[in-house]
Amino acid sequence: MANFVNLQKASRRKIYYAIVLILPALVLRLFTSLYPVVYTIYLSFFRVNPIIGAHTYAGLANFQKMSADLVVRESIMFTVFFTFVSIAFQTALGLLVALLLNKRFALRYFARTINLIPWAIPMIVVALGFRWMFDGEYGIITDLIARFTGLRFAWLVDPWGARWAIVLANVWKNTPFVAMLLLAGLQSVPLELYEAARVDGASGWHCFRYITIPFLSPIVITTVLFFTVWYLATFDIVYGMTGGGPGFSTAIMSYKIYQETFSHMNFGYASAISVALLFLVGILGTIVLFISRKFEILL
Amino acid sequence: MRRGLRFVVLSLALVVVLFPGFGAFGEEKISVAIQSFAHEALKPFIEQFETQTGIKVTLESMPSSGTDALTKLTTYYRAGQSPYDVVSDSDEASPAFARAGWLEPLNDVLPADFFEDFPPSMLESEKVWNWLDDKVYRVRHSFEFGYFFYRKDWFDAMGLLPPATWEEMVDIGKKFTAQGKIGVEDALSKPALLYVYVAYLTLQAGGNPFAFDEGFKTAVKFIHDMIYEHQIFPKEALNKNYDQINEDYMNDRVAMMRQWPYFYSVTRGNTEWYSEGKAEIALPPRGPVSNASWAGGWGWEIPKFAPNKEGAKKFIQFILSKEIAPKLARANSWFMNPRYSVMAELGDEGLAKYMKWYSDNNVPAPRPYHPRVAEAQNIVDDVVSAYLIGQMTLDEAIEQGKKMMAELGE
Repeated sequence: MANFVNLQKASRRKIYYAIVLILPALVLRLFTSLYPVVYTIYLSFFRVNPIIGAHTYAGLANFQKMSADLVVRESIMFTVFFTFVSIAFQTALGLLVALLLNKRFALRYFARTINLIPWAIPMIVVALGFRWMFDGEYGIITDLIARFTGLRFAWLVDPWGARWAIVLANVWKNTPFVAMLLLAGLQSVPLELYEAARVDGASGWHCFRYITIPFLSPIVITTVLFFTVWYLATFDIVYGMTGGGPGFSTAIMSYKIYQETFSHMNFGYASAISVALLFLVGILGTIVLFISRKFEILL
Repeated sequence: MRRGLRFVVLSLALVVVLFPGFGAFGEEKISVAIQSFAHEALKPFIEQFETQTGIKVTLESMPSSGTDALTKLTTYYRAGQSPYDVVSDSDEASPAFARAGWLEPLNDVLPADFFEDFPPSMLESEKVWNWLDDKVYRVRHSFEFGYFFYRKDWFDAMGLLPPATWEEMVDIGKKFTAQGKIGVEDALSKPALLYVYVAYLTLQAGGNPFAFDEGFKTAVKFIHDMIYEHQIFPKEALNKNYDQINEDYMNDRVAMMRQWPYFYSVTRGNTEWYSEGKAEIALPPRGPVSNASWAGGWGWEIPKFAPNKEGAKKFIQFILSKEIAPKLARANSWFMNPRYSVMAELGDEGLAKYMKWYSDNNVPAPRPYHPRVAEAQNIVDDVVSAYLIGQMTLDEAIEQGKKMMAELGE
């Protein structure tokens, strides 16, 4: 009995000791992560604007305003479009690039290195560069298309042109990173599996479908989930390329939040949009995770 | 003893190397924030101020756009702090700061006859934008309005005179467009640049851009028609900034363009391209009501949280004085304004000639005021841009704009 009590005491002491060790990190984490989230939710129920000296309880007024705000509605649509189209393109292209870089050829290490250059460029630089490249008059992309097709398209002043231009610039920047992740996955596939499959008469497509894809699927799922959360909060590419225009066709949610927070100082309203974005990230993240798991089981 | 002395000397040397400001401990100093392109022009005057007062001045950079200035300064002021003692601030930011109680009144800083140096048009604008309950919170050092630049060399070659009305501008624009040139251009990208042009034309049509009234409707329809019906104004301008339209102009593509006064120096500074007549200034073409061009600018203010308010006040007195302000305007056109003392100093020199000409013809008009100007401008930007790219009709744009503006006024 005495032994049991001693053991309990020792175990309790260990727990206390562990708590004391964890506590500083826990407090810091709560302060830097939980506090801003809770405070943002709190602010979303208030009308807060330091410039007009407002700090009054607003109930659900900010959320009602949001549902009637044309720019917010458009920004939700574009945010979802931007996220999923970008991810679809960059995953498909990333896989192609990864397969190429996984082949044996001269200078392949050099090719792997230069592949990463777009990813290493800061997004705002990419945005400003593509703004010029998609320029309807001087842009190199516009010009090349015009030389081959005879059609000159003013990308950034057409709603859908601007949306696609932003997606393409984003895909150009982030595909190399996805390719590197998938390349790492490809290199972890045991070669014996391919050899055994070939002995059994499997074609190249069968090897790809039944060996490569299942091995890559955990990486693809992680990447998709990671980029879904990341892209839902994208800001800089829109800021640099279109400023949310033309009209409000490329207004993305985080850009709207930035505008309401830092240009208009409507902290309450911006917080309400942030809460909506938080929910959107949560819902879409869960859906992506669910679909990915299903996909993984099917494979 | 000797070892102890060596230790003290080494310690002091280390402190001086690691903390260069240590030697200035106890010295009175102020920090002045202003856009970096103005620093060089300011330096000789700063030296003079330092010699006269013994106050050391550090120049810091401010963003070049008014909304960015608002963003940057709000974060400081909201926290009850200011790293700056004196700030050159924008129309978008300063009035809001004054209402929030974040600025120091300047009434006791300025001489009693200070505003007698201001012509009525500038004084009126100062009162609307920088005064609150008879207290002065900011004094503009730059008072700018858009000038109408045109290619006089091309006009002369075709036997044309600069357009006096919107209709003439369209007719002339068509002649240039037929030759593969751009008839008229301005930067219409978001944020803020589209608003600048809409407000300019709305005033000429007798309206107020924040009221979404008939004048606004006429002006916005006119932009639309220039782009789509007359095709004298490129649709691409909807995503162009000032750098891009300046490039268009100096690549000999544009016949007529409204632009801020700095473009005068930009064209003259491009010595490889510039020759007489390539960037001549005419009065703005008259709209249905006037040929007004709204005036706004940047001005000096002292944050309530300035670490050295007394030093800041001395700086304001110095830099706005009738002796220094004209010399500063000569050093950099950004400090040019229609104050009598400034105009007397500059005479008919450079851009001053045109500023006087515009003023004599009642072209400068007060910038349209709204208590939440940054938000109001964004609303105009949003709905006009949506209309110009066909996302909504003009009536829908006006209805939407009115609705958003009404919510803003709550």
